[in-house]
Amino acid sequence: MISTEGLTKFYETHPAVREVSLFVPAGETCALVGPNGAGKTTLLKMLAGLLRPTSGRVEVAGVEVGAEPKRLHRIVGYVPDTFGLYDDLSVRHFLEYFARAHEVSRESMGKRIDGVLGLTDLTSKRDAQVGSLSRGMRQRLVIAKTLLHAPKVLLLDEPASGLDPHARRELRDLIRQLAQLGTTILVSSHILTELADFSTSVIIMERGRVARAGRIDALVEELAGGTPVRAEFLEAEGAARLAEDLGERAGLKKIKVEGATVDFTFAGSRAELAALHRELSAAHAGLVSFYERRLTVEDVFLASGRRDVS
Amino acid sequence: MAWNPSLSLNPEFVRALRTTLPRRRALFVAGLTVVLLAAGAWVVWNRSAPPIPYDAYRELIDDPAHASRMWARQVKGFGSESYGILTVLLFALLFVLGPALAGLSFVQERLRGTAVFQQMSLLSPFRLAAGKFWGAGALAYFVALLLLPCALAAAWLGGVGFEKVSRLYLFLVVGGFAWQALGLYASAALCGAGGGAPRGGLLVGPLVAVGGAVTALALNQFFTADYELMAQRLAAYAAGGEYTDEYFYRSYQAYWWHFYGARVPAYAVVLGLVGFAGLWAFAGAVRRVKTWQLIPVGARPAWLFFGSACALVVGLLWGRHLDDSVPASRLEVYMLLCWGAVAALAGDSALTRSRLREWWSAERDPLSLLQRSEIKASVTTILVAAGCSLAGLFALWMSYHVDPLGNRLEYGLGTFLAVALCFALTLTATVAFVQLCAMFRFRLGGWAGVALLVFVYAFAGLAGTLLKGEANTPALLNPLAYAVAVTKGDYYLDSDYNSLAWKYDPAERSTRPFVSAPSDYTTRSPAPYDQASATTRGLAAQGGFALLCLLLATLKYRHTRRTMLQDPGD
Repeated sequence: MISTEGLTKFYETHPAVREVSLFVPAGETCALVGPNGAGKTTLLKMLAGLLRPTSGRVEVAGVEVGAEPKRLHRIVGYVPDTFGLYDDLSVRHFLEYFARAHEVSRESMGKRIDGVLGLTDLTSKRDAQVGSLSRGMRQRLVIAKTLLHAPKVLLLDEPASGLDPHARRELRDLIRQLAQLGTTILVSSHILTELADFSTSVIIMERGRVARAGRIDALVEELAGGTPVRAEFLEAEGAARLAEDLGERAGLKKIKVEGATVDFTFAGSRAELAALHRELSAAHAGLVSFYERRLTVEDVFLASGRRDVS
Repeated sequence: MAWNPSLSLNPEFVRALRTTLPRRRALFVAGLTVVLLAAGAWVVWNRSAPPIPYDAYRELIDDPAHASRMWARQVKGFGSESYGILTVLLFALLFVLGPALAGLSFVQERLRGTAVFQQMSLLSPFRLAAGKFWGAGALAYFVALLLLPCALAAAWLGGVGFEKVSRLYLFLVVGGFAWQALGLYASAALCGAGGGAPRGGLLVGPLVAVGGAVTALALNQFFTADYELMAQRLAAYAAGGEYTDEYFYRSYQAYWWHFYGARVPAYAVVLGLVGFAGLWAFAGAVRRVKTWQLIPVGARPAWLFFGSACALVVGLLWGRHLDDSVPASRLEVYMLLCWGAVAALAGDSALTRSRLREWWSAERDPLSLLQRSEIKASVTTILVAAGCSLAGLFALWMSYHVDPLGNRLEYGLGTFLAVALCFALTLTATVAFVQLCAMFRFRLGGWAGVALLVFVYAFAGLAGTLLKGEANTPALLNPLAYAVAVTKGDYYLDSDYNSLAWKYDPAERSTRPFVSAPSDYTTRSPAPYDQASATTRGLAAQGGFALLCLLLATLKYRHTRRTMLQDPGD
C-alpha cells in the first residue's frame, strides 16, 4: 500500500530523511516511532504529498507521489501534528466545506457527515462552533474531516499529543475502529505506550534513517528467536530457583530475572510450551502465573537497543 | 440533504463568507452603514444649506422664486458633495479594504494552521484562488453594494455627467479587482511551499492597501478629467483661431497617449494596463497555489506573460508622435522594465543549494524527473524572456526609424546591434550573478543577487556621472547610460518633435505660442566625445562584466557540486 525507495529530504543543508526504503502492506496499522527530530513528520508529509522529496520515490496505493498530487489526495488522509481550525464555523459547516473540497457528492454528503460525526462521537456537537470545542474534540473533528472522503490510507502525526488521558483512550479506540474498517494507518509518535496497544507493524526511525521496520510479531520473533514467556512467583527466591532450573534445560534463551518475575524465550511449539508449564507447576510450588507474553511496540523498540524514547 | 443554495457556490467562497460575514455580522454591518449614511446625509445637507441672511434681505429671501432657486442649489450642492464623499468611500473599500484582506488570505491560512488542509484539498487551484478572491472581498463588496445606489443617486442630484460617473466607476471596479488580485498573488507567493508561517506575513495586507490607495490617488485624474472639453480646446488651438495657452496645451496633451501609433485617451490605456496587471496577478496567484499544492506547473503561461507584457510595453512606447518624449529615453524605459522583469524572474527561479541538490539527485535518480523538468522549464523561461525583450527592442528601434515625415531612410542597424548586444550582455551578467548569489547561503537566495545588482548598476551610473566626461567606462557599464551615449545626437533617437512654436505678434508686441505641424525633427546637441570609442569601450566593459559573472558562477557551481557530492550532509 505504501512503499518508498531511497527517499531523501534535505532542508537546505540539513538531512531530515535519508535513503528511506520501506513497505507497509494494505490494512496494517503501522507505528512510526522515533525520538523528536528523527524525521517522522517529514516522512509523513512526503507520503501525504505535502513535501517534495529531494530524491527517491514514494508510491501510495499505486499512485506515484509528486506526479499526480490530486489523485493521491483522493486516497490519503493526513492529520498533522499541529493544526488550526476555522473557529468561526459550526462543526456542520466545517465538515460541509471539507466534504465539498474533497468532491463528496451532494447526495451522499449528509450521510457521510453524519457517519464521521458518529464515528468520532461528535454528533451532539453538530451545531456547535468549532472554536468552542475542547482540544480532544478538535482532534477528533480533524480526524472526522480527514475521513470524509473515505481515504484508503490514513497518516496520523502525533495524534495524541496534548490530549488528556481520557481523550487519548478515546483516540485509541477510534484508531482501532478505523483499522477494523480496513484502513491502512500509519501513526507516528515518540510516546511508545500510545502506539503499543493497536499497532500491527512498526517503523523505527533514528536520525532520518529507518533503524528497523516490519510486523511486530515477526520482528519480535526475529529478535527474540522464539515465544516470549513470563513466569511470576510469590517470592523472589522462587523466581531465582526457576531461573536456575530453566538454565539447565535446552531450547530456552534469554532468561532474565527481575524480582519475582522470570522472562525467557521458548523456542518450541505451543504443545511443548504447555508441557513445560505442567512440569514447572509441579516442580515449583510458588509459581503464581505462567503466560505467553504479549509483545508491544515498546518491546521491539527496546529489543532494537534504543532507549531514548519515552 | 435538503436543497441548499450554498452547495452550488464555490466552497472556498462559502467558507470565507461564513467566516468573515456571518448572518448576524452582515446585519450589524448593514445597520451600521445605513445609520452612518443617514447621519452623513444630515450633516452634508446642512452644510449645503445657503447662509442665513440678514433681516434686511428677509423680504427678498422670502420670495418663492428665490427660495426655489436656493432649494435647487442646496440639492445640487448636497448631491455633488455626497457623490464625492461616497466615491472616496467606495475607493477606500475596493482599493484598500478588499486588497488588504486578499493580501492576508493565504497568509492567514498559514498563521492559523489550516494551510495544510487546503494543500490537500481537491479543489482546483483556480477554484481555490477564485474562492479566496471573492471571499476576501466579500465584506468590501457588501458595504460597496449598500453605498453604490446612494452614490449614483447623489451623482444624479449633483448633476454629475453619466459618462464621467461611468468612467470613474469602471476604474473603481477594474482597479479594485486588479489590486485585489495583486494582494492575492502577494499572499500566495509569500506562503510558498514551506511549512512555517511566513515572516512578516501580516504586513502584506497593509502594504497592498497602501499600494491600492496610492494607485487610486495617482490615477483617478485620468478618469475625472473632462476629455470632451480638452478635445475641443486642442482642436481650437490647432485651428489657430484661439490664443494658445502653453500650460493648458501641454496639460491636455498629457491626457492622450499612443498605443501602436493610435491616439487613445489616457484613461483607456490606464484601464487596459490595470486590467492586464490584475488578470496576470490572478493567473500568477493560481500558479502559486499550484506550486503550493505541489502540482507541476508548465512554462508556457510564463512565456505568454512575457510575450504579452513585452507587446504591451512596446505598444505604449511605439513610434514617434508629436510632443512625445525623446525616443532614446523611451528605449531606456523599455530596457529598464525588461531588465527588471528578467532579474525578477532570475531571482525567483534561481537554483539555490537545495534545488541544485534536487538537480544532482535527479542525475543519479531517474525517478526524480519532475524536479529536472521544472528546473529546465525555469531556464527556458529566462531565455524566452530575454528573447522577448530583445525582439521588443528591435521592434521599438524600427518604429523610431520609420519616419512619418519621409525625410530619410536610415535604420542605424550598426548602433542597434551595439545596443542590443550590450543589453544581451547585461541580461547574461544579471542571470549569472543572480545564480552565483543563489549558490551562497544568503537568506534571500537569488533575490540577494538582484538587490546587489541594482546597487552595482546604480553605483556604476553614479560613479560615471561623477567622473569627468559623459561617456566614461564605468558609466557605460550601465546599459541605460550606454544606450544614451551611443545614440547621442542621432537624428531619429535623440531629437525633438514638438508641435508648439513661438511667433512674434506685432500687434501685441510680444511672442505667443502657436500650434504648428513640424516638418522635421530637431536633433539635440551632438556627442562631445568619440562615439565609436564609447561604443567599443562600453561593449568591452559589459562583456568583461558578463564574463566575470559567468566565470564566478561556473566556479561556484563546480565547487558546490564537489562539496555536496563529497559530503551529502553539507
